[in-house]
Amino acid sequence: MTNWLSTWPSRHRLSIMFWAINALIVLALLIFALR
Amino acid sequence: MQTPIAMNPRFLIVIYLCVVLLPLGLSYFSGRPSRSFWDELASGAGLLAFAILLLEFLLSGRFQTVSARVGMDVTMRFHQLVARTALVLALLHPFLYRSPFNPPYPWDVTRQLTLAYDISGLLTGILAWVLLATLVALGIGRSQLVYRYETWRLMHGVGALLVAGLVLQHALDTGRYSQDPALAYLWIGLFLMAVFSLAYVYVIKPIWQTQRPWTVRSVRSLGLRTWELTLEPDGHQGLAYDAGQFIWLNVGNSPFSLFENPFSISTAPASGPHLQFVIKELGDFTRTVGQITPGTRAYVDGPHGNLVVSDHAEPGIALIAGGVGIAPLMGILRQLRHEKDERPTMLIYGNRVQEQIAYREELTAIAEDQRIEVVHVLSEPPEGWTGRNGLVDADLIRAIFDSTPMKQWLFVLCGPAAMMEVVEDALIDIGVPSHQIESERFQYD
Repeated sequence: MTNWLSTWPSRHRLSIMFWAINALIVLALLIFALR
Repeated sequence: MQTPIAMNPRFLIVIYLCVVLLPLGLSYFSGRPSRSFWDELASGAGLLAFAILLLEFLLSGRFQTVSARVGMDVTMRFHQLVARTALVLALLHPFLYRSPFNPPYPWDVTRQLTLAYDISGLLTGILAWVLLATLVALGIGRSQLVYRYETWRLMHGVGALLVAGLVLQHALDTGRYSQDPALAYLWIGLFLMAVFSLAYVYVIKPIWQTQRPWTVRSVRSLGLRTWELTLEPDGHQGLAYDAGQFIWLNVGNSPFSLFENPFSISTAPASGPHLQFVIKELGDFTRTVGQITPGTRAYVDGPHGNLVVSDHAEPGIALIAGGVGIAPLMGILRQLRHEKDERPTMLIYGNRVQEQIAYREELTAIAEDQRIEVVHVLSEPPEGWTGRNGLVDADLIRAIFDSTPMKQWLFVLCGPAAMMEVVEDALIDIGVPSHQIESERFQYD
């Protein structure tokens, strides 16, 4: 994981983190709504 | 001096996610019967949007614990990005409900089948909805606005607190899940934390700054529209900082005013308690730097920033500067010389014309040190120029660093965003891992 991330510039790593957090938020929201 | 309470970025992300998802989790386990998918989606979107909104205050509060390791520029960019997520969730929140189409049932005490139509609760929600959309839109389009940065910042801070207060009232008054004491207290706790974050930046820090004033010792021209400002501590020991860090500088105004700008420190901690800054005439404040008189009172908020080499053990250091980006790298270079660091060091310093080169004589003297190489790059060189021609770009990076030993070095970048992107991409392209590349952007709005 660390090696793979090391091949990305910092601005892309921020984007990856942002979209990963968004994906988790949407997943949590769906789990909440579908219970 | 890296702050000892600075948190690991991965740990911060986990904490951030936990806090954002906590209201949803508390609601999930509240024991209330679930409603239709769309009603639950609507409530969940509202809960998430409010949690993100309240944490925005913490992200923009200049807390070392939050931003020391991640970088202030990354923290602020993240603040801007997640504001968009909060806005999307908040905009969807009222339109996802299906229960408003049901008649109110007096026996529906858990509000399972209908929504509360209490006008005060709905009104605060509607006001917050409109105001939040306005705030985010103004933030995204700030560069197009006619307002001064300080005016916008005040409107943004006050507006955001107003939105948070309105949403708190809306949640506590009409929210189905926010009726539970656990979630209600969590909202109140997070709201108080948001209030404290603003108070910390606008009240507590300024009070602390009044006890630690600075005085302008000198202002001198360094080159074409570039100035060097020197401050000395007035009745205190000065600032404990690491070479390469930056501060928010307020010259000639009350510490409670919003007139402050971020500047990198170009001195090294080893050179004494005075601080120097390289300031290029670019904006409202910087255009007037040449008119500042010695003796003017100044205030400093900092140190901030993670553009430091003291915690790195790479076998060599490459400092790559564009224009006024030389400031923090000059601090690092001076500190390395003072510490007699044995590692090979190279400074690549790009400018448009020769007259823009700051500290030229000092850099010439530094280059006499066998361990330090200084490479000047000019895009518009004069006749007889002996340095390199062109831009600090991918070709230059490949020509200088595409050798196995140099790929193990630490690379520290500071300059215009376009230059830093090109250089970072080129370094990664030749095989330098991104954890060996340190960079910081000029803009922290």
